[in-house]
Amino acid sequence: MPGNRFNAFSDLGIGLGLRSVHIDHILERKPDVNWFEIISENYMVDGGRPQVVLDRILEQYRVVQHGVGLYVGSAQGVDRDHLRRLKRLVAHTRTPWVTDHLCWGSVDGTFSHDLLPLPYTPEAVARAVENIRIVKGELAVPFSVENVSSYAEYRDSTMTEWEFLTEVAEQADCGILLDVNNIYVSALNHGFDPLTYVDYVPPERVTQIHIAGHSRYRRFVIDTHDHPVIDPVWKLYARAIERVGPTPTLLEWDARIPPFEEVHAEALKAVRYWDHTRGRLSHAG
Amino acid sequence: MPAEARLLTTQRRFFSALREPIFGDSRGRSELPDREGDVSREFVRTANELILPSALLEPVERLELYHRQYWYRLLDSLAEDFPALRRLLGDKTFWDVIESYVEHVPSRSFTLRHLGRYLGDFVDEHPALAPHPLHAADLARLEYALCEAFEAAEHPALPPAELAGTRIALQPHLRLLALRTPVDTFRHRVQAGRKTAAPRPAAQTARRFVAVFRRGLRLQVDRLPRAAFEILSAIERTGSLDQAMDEVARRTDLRRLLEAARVSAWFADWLGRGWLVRAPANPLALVKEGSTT
Repeated sequence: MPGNRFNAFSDLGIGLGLRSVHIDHILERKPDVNWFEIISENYMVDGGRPQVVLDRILEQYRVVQHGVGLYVGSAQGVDRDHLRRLKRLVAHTRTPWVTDHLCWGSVDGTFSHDLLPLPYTPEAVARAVENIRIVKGELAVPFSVENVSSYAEYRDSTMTEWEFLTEVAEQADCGILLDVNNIYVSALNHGFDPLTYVDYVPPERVTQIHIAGHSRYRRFVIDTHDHPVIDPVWKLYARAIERVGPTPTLLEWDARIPPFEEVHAEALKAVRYWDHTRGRLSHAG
Repeated sequence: MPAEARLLTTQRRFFSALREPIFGDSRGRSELPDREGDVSREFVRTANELILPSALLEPVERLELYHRQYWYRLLDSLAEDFPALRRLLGDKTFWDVIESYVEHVPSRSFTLRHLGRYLGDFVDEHPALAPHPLHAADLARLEYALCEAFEAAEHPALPPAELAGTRIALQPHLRLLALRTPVDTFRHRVQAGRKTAAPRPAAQTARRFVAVFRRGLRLQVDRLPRAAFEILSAIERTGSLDQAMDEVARRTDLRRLLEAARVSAWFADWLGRGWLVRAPANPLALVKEGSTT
């Protein structure tokens, strides 16, 4: 695996999101999983079951932290208390890198608990870059931002989402967690070609890839993480792997979660695209 | 308008729209009871001024997708944390109460786990919302104390030899509650899957004193004698055994409840359960976790 400086040149392979319904199974059966992704905020606690479970998982598995609450797109800056809690957890888990979303979600100290889209403007770029630099300055590991799925576009936007994401990542010099399902969801909601997005993102900055399922309604698509990955999303994944090379990949399944083996089998489907890419590379060589 | 102020204004307007009550069709895919009405003119103006239409959705419909997500996420989180309150109130009243709560008390924490912190106070301040307001407020406090105890730290138990003369504190996962109604019994029956009778009108004078704590990873609710509750509360306030006992002994209403033999047995029990710990060197650490957000 090529790896890059944003994922510590790692060779982690395919991972799974750690979800509470699977924890007993994982601790009892010890399935062969390369790594688990945890939601950082779920473990920013002082004790109790979440901490005990995390420690038992850490005894056996590599854990990568993924956040939902830094809100690096917030016009009012990042919450320093949140950053301190995150830093403590990073020291505890020894995660090789940290990710969170390129979005906002709170204002004036009130929280939406959602990943809200940003206007794609130079002003929003500047704010996000400033916030990410603060985050990078506090964390001892590389930091990457994830593209969110969105259901609205702002009148203020002066660039495309892929231009915005790239501009932020390059100016802040951070990595990109490329969620190909989010690209697909946003493409259907906003009417753009998802391949254009995947082809634009600088491959040398892609730390990790997310895959997931979603729900399609008559007039819009919602990023529900409650279905298997559909073929068009696998095709985007294949294209991303073709450009980036085999990259740590994580399946998100957060609602109507099936048994562990089913989720694991769905995630491992990603390997076939790696083998395909490796085969092409070796033929080319 | 300065660039940064424009981004902040956008975020404030967007968030203000999310916080508006939800009406009509937006409630259709939820368990929320019907509520006639529509989004405000300001909501429509915000949508039209901030958001582009798509091929299939108007700006207001696009903003409504986020609006619904905001409400469903917060209300579902409260429903998960307050199952006994939901049983006490019944579905319709429960959704009405927590919807009103979220309207008045938005989330001020990075985590939804803290969202219900003021639900008990809110029900006390709005007794007309619930048919059994004292029970409902007490139960909200009890279930929130369980949420706090679930994830609070556990410090090493105080060695008995250090009880006197050391600055002491309560175990961080121990919560003390003075309840006006027997909702601890109600909650226990709900948890055990047993039938629950409708509560009787509360007698204001018959307070129940309970400790909510963890034993290993299991949450437990135990009743306490009133004097034991007062001693533990005084330790929590003063951080000193001597000061706590002085404070309690000065209270004439407690004197007859204090017998040396029982107090010794209580302390032996509390030390055995690890309810007393050394006070942290940093006084800020005495602040219960979760209150820092």
